[in-house]
Amino acid sequence: MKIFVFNRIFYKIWIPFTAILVTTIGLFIFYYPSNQKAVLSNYKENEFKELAKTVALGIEISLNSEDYSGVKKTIDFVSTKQDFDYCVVIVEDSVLTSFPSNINIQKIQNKDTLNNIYSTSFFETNSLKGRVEICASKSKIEETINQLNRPFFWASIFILIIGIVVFYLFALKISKPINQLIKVTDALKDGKYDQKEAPIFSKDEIGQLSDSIFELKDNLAQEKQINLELTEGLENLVFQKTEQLQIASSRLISAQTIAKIGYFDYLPNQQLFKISETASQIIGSKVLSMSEDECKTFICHDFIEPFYQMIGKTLEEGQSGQLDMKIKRKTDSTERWLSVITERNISPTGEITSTGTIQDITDRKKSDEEIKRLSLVATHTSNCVIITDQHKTIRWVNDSFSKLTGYSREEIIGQKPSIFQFEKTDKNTIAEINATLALGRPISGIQILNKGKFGNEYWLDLNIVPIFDEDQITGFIAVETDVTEKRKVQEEQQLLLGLTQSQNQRLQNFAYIVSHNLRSHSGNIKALMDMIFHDKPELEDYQLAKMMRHSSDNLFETIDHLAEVALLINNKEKHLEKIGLREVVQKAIRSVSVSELNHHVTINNLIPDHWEVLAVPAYLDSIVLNLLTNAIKYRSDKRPANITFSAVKSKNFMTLLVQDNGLGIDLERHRKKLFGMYKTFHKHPDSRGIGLFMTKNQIEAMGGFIDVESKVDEGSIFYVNFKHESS
Amino acid sequence: MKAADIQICLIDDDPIYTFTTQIRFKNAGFEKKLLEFQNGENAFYELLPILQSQPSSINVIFLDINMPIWDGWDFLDELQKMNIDHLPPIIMVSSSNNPDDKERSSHYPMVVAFEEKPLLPERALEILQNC
Repeated sequence: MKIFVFNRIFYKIWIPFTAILVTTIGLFIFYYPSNQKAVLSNYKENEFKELAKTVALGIEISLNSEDYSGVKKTIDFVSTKQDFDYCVVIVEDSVLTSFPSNINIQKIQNKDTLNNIYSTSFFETNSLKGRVEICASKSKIEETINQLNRPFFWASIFILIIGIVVFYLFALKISKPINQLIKVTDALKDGKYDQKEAPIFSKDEIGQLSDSIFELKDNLAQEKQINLELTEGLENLVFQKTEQLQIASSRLISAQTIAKIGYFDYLPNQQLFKISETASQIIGSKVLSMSEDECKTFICHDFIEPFYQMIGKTLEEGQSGQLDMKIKRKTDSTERWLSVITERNISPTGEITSTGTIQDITDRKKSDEEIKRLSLVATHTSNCVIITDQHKTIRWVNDSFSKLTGYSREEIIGQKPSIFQFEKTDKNTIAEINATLALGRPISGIQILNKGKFGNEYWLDLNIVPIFDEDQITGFIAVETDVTEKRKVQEEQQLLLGLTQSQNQRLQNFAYIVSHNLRSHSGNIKALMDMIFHDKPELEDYQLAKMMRHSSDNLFETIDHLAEVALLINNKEKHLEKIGLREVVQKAIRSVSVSELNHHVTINNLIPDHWEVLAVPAYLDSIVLNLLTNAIKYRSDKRPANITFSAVKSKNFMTLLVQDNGLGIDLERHRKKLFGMYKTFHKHPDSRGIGLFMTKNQIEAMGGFIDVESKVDEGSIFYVNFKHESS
Repeated sequence: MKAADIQICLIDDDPIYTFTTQIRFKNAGFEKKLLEFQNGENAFYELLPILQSQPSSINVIFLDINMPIWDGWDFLDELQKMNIDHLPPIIMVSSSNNPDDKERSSHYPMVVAFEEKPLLPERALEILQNC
């Protein structure tokens, strides 16, 4: 608390009172002693005079009655009065007696009236005449007076101090509530309603005022609190709304930027377009406002009228408009397609403007055109054709698609192919398709089970090709074939195949068993027959026995062949070796030459050296030998036999040509039976009809095939196609 | 080795084949009488002591595949378990030309040939001379 701030109420109360008190008491103290002194001096002088008189009288009496002790007593009486310097009784200019006793005559004669008061009283007795003189110093009198006044001073000072203190307390008591009030009002003035102040409990008027003010203050504080809260709430609300607005606006801007949607306002009063930055970029301009005439400079001629018609309609009728129009960009002079949408906008001031968005749709237009072109091709195919964008959203389907799935073009465009999938669709296949397409690779030959609009399930053979535009996938074309029926047939075939295979297996086993058992028995019969003829050579002349032996030989041979055939059919997986074709033919020629050369047969081997085929050695030997012996066997009697072996190489096969000029075969009649079992076409003694059947099967077992050209009585050419190494 | 010195053991259930074989080999100069068994089991238990004590007393075994009780494979399996040294060569003789059988026979080290019936003496000699 600052004590000496005198403009405070406390001092304003206390100081005047104190000043008045101090002045009053000061003046009193100042004036009172001087008056008092004068009165007291007079009184003292009078007292001294009376004393002198009394002493003189007493001495006179004593001397008259010659009572000298009375003199002494008088002096002693004087001595009780201590407040004088001396008292002397002078008789005849000499000192009779004095008090104090050492007073001499010089001192009495040299009177100092300035500092002392003198009082003289005369006496006269019968005998003596004298005087009594009393002297008192003025300072001594003053001292006496002061002594008299001192309690009064102290009392005054005491009263002064008491007064000051009382006034102090009084001022304090008055000023405290006032101060409080001032503080409160100050606080109220400054709006600090919630400041804490000690309440005043005294129930005087100030106290009541104070209470009222406090109440007011409390109310105000509450009000302020409410106001604050309200304000805060309001501020928060404003802040939130502002933030939301900002977010929305920035979103809108970024959305527009991302979607490349430009924005414009047309002000009909000023005939002015105000355009957003994105719009400015889209049209290839650098300004954000342009006049109608400027606008006409970049809109392609055919679209100027429709564009202004649309704006006019929007302004007049409030109808929103949409227009796809072509412009020529100012910056790079490229032609772009824009989609323009307009809306009427009425401002709070009642001004009617047209607001619109523009979007660059050149790419979409392009792809639309592309799809149109593609769809021209795809419309009439019986396959389903689906064109999607890069996100696999369907953009076009052909009529066959609608026929198969039940979805019309309108309802399926915008959907994704996942709409066709259901719980029976193989998830792995879908994953495989997606992975392949993600790599930008085409898909072909994948089959998938889909479901149509009406729940019809169908199998599709998928061929999907990504469409690229400068390394970017812009879409996919899927050509789908309905293979439901095919799969059904395949499944049936598979079933049949399984059945056939198991039957075949059983037949195979049967063939083994039969051939094994029959061979044992026929072998035994043949052996026994041989032994019988060995033991009894005379049986040679017995026709029946001879016929019996011939039959048993034939039986054995036939069963032998059958066993061979059974073996051949079984051997699907033969190990193929590289074999020089020329050497094999040479070997065959050598093996027949001894027995056949005398029949005027010429055999030519024109196969080049080192031409190798992939074959089973035993089969190849058997094939070549069989064809050679056939050619010899069925030679013509009309001309010398000429047999030529040659070979040609193609990509997949090496073909052995065996050409003869023999009897020939009537292919029109016999082609189908030519390579069958037990078919002979010549009445030749040796023909058993197993050879070509074996040959055909052996060649096919080695992955090749045989063909024949022939004319009756001119000759035949057999073409035997073998695999070779580069195939 | 001369045909006259060769001791043949024939394991086959077909009596006619056994008979014809006997005569055929006899006529071809094989003088020793054939040791004959009608099935694999018989042959195994009869032959085992001979093979363990004097393996050289038998020069070749003709083994049929399809037989009652123990077939040819059973015989081979049991024989292989015995770990006998100096086993005589075995020629498998079957009227079956099943390539699976031929393939299977090649897994037995003592089998030197797989022949179709009838096995002629000349062929048998040829095989024996090559092994």
